[in-house]
Amino acid sequence: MAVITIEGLRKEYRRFRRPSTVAVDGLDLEVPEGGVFGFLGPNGAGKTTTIRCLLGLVHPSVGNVQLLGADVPHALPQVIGRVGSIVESPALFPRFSGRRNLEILGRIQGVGPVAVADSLARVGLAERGDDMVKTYSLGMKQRLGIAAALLKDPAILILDEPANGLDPAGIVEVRGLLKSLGAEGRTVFVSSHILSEVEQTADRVAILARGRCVATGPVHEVLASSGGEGMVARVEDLAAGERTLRAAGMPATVDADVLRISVPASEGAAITRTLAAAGLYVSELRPDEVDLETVFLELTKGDSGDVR
Amino acid sequence: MIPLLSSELLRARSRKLVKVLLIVAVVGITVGVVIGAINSHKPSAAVVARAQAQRQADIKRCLATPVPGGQTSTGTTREEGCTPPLSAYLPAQSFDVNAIGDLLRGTSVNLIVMGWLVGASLAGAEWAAGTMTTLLTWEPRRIRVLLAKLVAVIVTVLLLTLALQLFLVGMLWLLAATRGLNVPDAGLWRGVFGSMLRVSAISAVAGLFGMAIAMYTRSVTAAMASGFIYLAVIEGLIRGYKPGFSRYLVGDNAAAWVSGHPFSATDPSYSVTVAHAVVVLLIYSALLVTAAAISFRSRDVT
Repeated sequence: MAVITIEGLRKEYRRFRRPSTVAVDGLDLEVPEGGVFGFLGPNGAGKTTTIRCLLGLVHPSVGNVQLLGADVPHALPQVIGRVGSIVESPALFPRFSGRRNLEILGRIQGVGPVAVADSLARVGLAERGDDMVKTYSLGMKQRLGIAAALLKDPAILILDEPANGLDPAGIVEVRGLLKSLGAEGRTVFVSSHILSEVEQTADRVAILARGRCVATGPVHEVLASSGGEGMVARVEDLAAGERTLRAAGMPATVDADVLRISVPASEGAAITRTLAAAGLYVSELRPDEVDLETVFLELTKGDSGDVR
Repeated sequence: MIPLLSSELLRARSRKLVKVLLIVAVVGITVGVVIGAINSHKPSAAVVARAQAQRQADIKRCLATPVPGGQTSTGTTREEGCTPPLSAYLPAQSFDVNAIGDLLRGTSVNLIVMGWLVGASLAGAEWAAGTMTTLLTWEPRRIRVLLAKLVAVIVTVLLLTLALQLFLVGMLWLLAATRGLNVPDAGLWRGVFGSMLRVSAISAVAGLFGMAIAMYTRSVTAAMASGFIYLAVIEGLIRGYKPGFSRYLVGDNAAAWVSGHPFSATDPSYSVTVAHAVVVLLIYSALLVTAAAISFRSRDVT
């Protein structure tokens, strides 16, 4: 079952005496229930606008959005109690304590002080809960935002760049938190441009460029779809190695100081045998894997930010 | 709706501005009353008896003099016009308990501005801090959010202004009882409490004005500045160039509302009655709140 369904979403911002801006341009997306879903895209690709449309903060120009099966915005009130979110940076009153901020929000959904204390404890803010938010570091504010999102015990968490401004320790902490939330059966929809983070936490991803979805699916499928299948070998004489492998029916090309061979990883032994028979000894042999960053840069090539 | 309202009231109660205004007002009142106490002296019983006799004679003479229409030019009744305060017959250094009503009405402008500021702040601060986004991810029904804010503004301003006026009246009564003249006229306390309720009510209306403009402009500063520019500049110009429109101006209607008597600032051919003032100001606040609701419902929150 899809917890988020977006069909043909387009959002155009009209501006007085200036050309209008298209932030999202015909986006289609389905997010299945459970696990961590990474929503990737360069700055200005339309991630935050999409999230704002999902939460009913922004009215789509065209398209349909469903959250937990409810049409947004009309049926959103029926499901909002099961949706925790952070949009951009967590917006909380700086002169109230962290606890008071959560109490104010909690009252709206009938959440009491015990749940507030639990939420603060879960993000490691139990001891600083009574301090004013303006005294918090950026990382603490981010964690308080996550505590607010968790307060409703949500079925789905929509987090916009939750690792923004965190130090390395904070990033590791948030990564662990997201993984554990996903493992609890919740759906964590997390937008980010920190690809290494998403690669380590997400089960599935969607890559957004110029307001459109250019790739979506399980992380390994997205990686594979970008030419990630094959082997990389290193020999002393690359040209001879290329000739030998081609002669053996294995398509190979020289790429910088390695050979890229378009065969599955199961052919590793055959590569070694063929090259060794020709007197070319392999110093390195590994699967030709691409990382998410490479895929992301490939798919969003030329996307300088705003759609148009 | 009740949980949302409870949340809004907690938010209002937690606002530093509300606490600061309360403290500043309490300190201001206390300082004013202490200065009054230093300068006021309790008159002797003989002096009071002489003044009362003199006053009664003057009232009798005034009422015996025929006046066409039976009303004074200021809209007060004949009896009110012929009843000077007892303090007018006493040495100037004695604070008279009967002056409390006038002092309350004198401080009403401060409370009305305070109401406007509290209303503007309770709505505008949400936009300044970006917390409107957070709030709407908890309660996406925007009209409900607006209504909860509206009730929170009314309740906060009413409680704040009533508490301050009660404190002021209490302090002034203490001043009159210990260092001045404490001989209340008949109906004094009824008049005083009537004034308090009217001032609190109009302060709440001012709070609605401030809240509605802040919701529309998404800024406390804009809400305060527009109020100042309108009242200080635009109404002044209208009063000067089109005196006939004065009966529809906020200032004239507010003056009638606060005084409890018909009011006319510029054009003696008419006066704004209290009922007229209440209707006009409530219509204005309803229009502003409706405009704010339409804008809030239709505009994106970015």
